[in-house]
Amino acid sequence: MTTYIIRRLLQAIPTVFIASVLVWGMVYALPGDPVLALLGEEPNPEAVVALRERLGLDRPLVAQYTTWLGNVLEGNLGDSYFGGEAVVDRIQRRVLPTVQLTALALLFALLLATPIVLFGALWPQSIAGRVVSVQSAVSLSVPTFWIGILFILFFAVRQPWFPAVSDYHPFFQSPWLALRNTFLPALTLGIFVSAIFGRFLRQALTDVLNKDYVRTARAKGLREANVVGRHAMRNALLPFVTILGLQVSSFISGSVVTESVFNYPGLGRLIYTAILQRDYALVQGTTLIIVVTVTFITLIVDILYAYLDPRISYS
Amino acid sequence: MIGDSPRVYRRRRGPIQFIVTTYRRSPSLAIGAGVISILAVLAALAPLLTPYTPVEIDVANKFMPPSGAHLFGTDELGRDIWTRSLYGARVSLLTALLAPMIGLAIGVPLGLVSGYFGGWADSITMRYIDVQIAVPGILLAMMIILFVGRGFLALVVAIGIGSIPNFARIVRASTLSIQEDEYVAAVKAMGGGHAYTMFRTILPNAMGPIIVQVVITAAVAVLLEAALSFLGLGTVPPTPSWGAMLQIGKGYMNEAPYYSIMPGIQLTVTVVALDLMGRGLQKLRGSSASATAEVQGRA
Repeated sequence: MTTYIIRRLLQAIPTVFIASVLVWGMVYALPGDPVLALLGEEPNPEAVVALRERLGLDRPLVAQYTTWLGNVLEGNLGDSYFGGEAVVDRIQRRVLPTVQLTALALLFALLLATPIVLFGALWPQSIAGRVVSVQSAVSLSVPTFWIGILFILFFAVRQPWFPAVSDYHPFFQSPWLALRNTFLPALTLGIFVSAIFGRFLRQALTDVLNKDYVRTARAKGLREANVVGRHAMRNALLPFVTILGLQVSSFISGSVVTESVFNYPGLGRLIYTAILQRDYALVQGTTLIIVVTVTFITLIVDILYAYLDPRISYS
Repeated sequence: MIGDSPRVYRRRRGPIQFIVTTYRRSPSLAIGAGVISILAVLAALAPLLTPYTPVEIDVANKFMPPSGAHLFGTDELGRDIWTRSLYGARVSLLTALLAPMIGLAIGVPLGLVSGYFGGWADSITMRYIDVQIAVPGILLAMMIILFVGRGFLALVVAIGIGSIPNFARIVRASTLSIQEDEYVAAVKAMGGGHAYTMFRTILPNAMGPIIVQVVITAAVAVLLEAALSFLGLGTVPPTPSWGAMLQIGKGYMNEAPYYSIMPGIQLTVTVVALDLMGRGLQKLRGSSASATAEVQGRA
């Protein structure tokens, strides 16, 4: 087990390393002089010289990279080009809103995915099974941003039940305001995530239900609820968990779109505005954090999987 | 050289019989393909199907609700929304057609080489895939567009690059299993070179999953194109695109609620049709769909 963890950790290191080089090199890969890209169209000459010196652009590339990496490891991701605030601070302020949105979205996703999984895997030919199969197909195919637009149109503009622009209110300070503001974006994101949940877990459960031990469990005369709940579901959750780890980046895609539709002040919209404004320091910082987070979650999930499933070989 | 592999010759049949057989074998494939064909015909014949042009401004008639003269109404500049969505279909369908080609052209050789040679080639490819998969699809596309500038070509390239890992992974997995087959050993024993073995022996036997992946990638491409256009990173105005139309419509929900609905319905129909095709193809091959391949990269 320990060897497996170490091996898996060693595999993650090159991924993070390559990603860090790419993120660092981004500014250099931009067409034209990076200093001009940083300072805008017509910088004053003194600023150019100062920035060139500060960035150490006259030093060898490897030295430049290690300096940058050293800063990053100390938690210094540079300053935002707009307003000059530290990138780390700007990111930090967006973390809680995103966590709150994601938490509610996951709740919606579970509620919406449960019927897809149960009816879809247990009674695929029944009317309910057919209905959820359509639900699953549609929620996978409808553009997330359009669901958001429809929600705003019908439940914020036509019927002003919710605000059309969602602001962040901490749940533990003002639960009502927080719910009112987070409800629509969370439902939008939740539908997108439920499509992914449903798709994977239904397949996992269908696969398990065809296994011999499920037939044995049924043959023993166990109640169906027991067969599904105790025998099938537990085993279906295992592959589901690993695959979910791989889907973290899809969830982030979904939240970039959702937060942008609702103008919700989360991480996703921060990245979006950073890209639109060409705030490269902010783009670098957020991308690096996302890549590291996704790699880390994948790693944790893999190790958890190996730990939970004794059949997996660690070699 | 090695002789041609034997081919199965089928009796030629008329197009109608072809459609009927396809429908019997897989209704979802036939329905999906039918819808996409109709859309393609509408998009191609757009100039014949409307008296207006997509960029014709008529401010006196702005925000006209749907009527006989303007089927879907008019937008904030008095442009005909039906006309604009016909032309918008061109952008969506061309993206669906072209983006998977980039994934094919780069991902397939990558997967073949990585699965065939193993070792270092495999390690490097897998690390590259790991890195790219760790970047959310829409973010990667946004950054590529940031580098190359906005435009239709940038969209196609950005979305296409995003699909490379899926193709590479699928081809790699097929290569690994096909390589164990005896006919591959036979080809090598008869003196087939690496390139010949990879592209003429292994690749033809891996085509099934690749074709399915092309269709799935097309669906994802339509979704991503719309999302990017909606976020203002798609085609340059006034070129109409469904995503861009929805972005404008979102600003006029009080004046023109219908504006936010029509392009969305068209988008959904297109993606559902492509997904139906993908699912139908999978069923025809008798394989259960890989959920990862279906879901990866959506937004």
